Amino acid sequence: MPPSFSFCRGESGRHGEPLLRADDLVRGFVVRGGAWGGSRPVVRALGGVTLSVLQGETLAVVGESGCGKSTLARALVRLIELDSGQIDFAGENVRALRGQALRRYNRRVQMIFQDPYGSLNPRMTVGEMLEEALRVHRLVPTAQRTGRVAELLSLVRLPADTADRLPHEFSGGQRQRIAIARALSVEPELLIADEIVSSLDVSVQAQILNLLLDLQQRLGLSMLFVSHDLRVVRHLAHQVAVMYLGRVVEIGDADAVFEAPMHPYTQALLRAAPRMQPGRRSQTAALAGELPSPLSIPSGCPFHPRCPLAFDRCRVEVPRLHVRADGHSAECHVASAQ
Amino acid sequence: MTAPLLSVRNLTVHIGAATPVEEASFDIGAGEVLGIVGESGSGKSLTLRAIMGLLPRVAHMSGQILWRGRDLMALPETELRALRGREIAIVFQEPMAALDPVLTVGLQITESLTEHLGLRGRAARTRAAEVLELVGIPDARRRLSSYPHEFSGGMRQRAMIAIALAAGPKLLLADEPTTALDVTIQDQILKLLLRLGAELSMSVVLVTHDLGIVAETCDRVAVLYSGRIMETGSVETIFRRPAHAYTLGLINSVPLAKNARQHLASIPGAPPDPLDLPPGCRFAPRCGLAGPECTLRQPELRALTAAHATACVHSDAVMRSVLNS
Repeated sequence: MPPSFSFCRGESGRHGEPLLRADDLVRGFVVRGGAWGGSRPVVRALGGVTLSVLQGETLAVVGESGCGKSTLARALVRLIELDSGQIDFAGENVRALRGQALRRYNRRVQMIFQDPYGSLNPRMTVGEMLEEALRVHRLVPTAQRTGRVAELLSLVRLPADTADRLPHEFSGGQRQRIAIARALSVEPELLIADEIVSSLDVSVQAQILNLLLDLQQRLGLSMLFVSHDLRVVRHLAHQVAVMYLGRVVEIGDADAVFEAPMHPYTQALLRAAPRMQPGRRSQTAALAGELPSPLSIPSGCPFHPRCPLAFDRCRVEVPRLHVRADGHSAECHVASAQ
Repeated sequence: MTAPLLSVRNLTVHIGAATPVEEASFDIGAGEVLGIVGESGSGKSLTLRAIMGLLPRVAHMSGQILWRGRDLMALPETELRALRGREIAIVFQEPMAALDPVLTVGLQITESLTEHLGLRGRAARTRAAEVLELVGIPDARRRLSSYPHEFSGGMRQRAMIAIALAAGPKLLLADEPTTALDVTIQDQILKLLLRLGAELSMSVVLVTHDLGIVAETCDRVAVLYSGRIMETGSVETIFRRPAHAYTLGLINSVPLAKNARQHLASIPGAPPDPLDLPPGCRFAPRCGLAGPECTLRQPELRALTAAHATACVHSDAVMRSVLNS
């Protein structure tokens, strides 16, 4: 392993310590065309999200449409701003960063998106793109840039001649590797990946998952991995946060969340996900009903209209986080009672 | 043994110099759920559209598509149109692409009822409400006058299924019907399709890339790669005793809980360019078992048992490796 790629370790703390902490993040979006004369309706994309990513580990954020996971990812890299809440990265208050300090943060925390084609400049060769990143951040002297580009391509298992080609010449999986290479070129400590394998074929997805596992192990990379796919999440994550309508409804070690889910929504998600075992499990759907409109989030526990275990308290009182000894926690009146 | 409802024989689709579907042969029996699984470029969607005669104008088909004994390829468009919706129906991945945005859902259903069953007026509307209720849309009577955009994603998919089923077809073709949906809604829609298939004595062909869906919903499977069928068999057989290197590779590519955070046995490389196909077996360049005989000629789909067929020359090695693992 080239010694130049040990950047992900060390600077921010020991393995297993919190690298990034998000505390009570709130973000609403005002909807256009609200009732005349009345207040504009607000979509609460993030309703108070608290979680942390540990050094060298992967936190997966999982949930369905409208849960806020993509908004969360964007807020963490300051692509969008929050209404309130605190983000700490290696001791720094991220929301207060400006100018040089913010640019430095954006180098240390890199985001990769679902559509690799959208984030790659179609008119630059891969080599030009990677060199630009190196040049802008003044990470490597001019003479060494070509060599570093070759190292990056080999790190993501792409052939050396990739550098001379344009993005359109590559398949989806290869473009995603190029996007990963570009993210790594600036020597980040934390990767935020937003549904990066969702649009890939399963055989290509497997290659990318292997690559991510490998990179994490070799470089000590920390990751926040946003996905709706529980199988993929299980394969990568050390910790899992389950989101529903803008809140984290359950969070804990991956094994704990998958094997002994506390929240009825997590339980439903796990029941709904198809397994690789032949044969029909059940005639009944795992979860009834539909997601309520984010403009009218239900009273009390937002999940109560669809929850098979809901009782009176659930309709009127918002559940508080119930934390177990091992850190596995859920916002659920039923779980708290157990 | 009863004759199959649909029998596809050597279906080939030509588009320009490419053959995105080549020599596809499979059967569907009454009340059966057949899964057609493949990755991008496998030709699975085109195969489905070929059955309905819905290929792009530039495409040419050859082979036979025998529906209850009649060759659909030999039918004139007028007769095909009478068949579509009445006997064979299709639903797609994107409801908004298939639903008419300027017509109410009710009108889109009654249109089919009038065309195929001659129902009109109140009789048609009553039947339309019944169909909407059947697919699980609450407050069905009132929702007849809703437009597609007034439904959520899952509800739109249900509406599309309602339109497809209104005239009582015996075969439903479903092209990735749940790919764009959340997993809990996907679960609802798949279970709905299975329930409807059983209640209406309807066969279903489900095209998907998701092996988990195949395992839990289908009776039989055809595995497609780069336009050719690699293996067919019951779901039980394909998952427990795969006989094609690609099928095995595909199954091994899916993360399993017990292998969490470990290396996945993935398939290297990517599917071939349809305009630059490798000689012989199309999977050979990516196949760990490939030998010289694999590149000499295109392997034929051959029967291992009455219900299991493979196009892999090294099926023995594949089956042995599964037994050993």
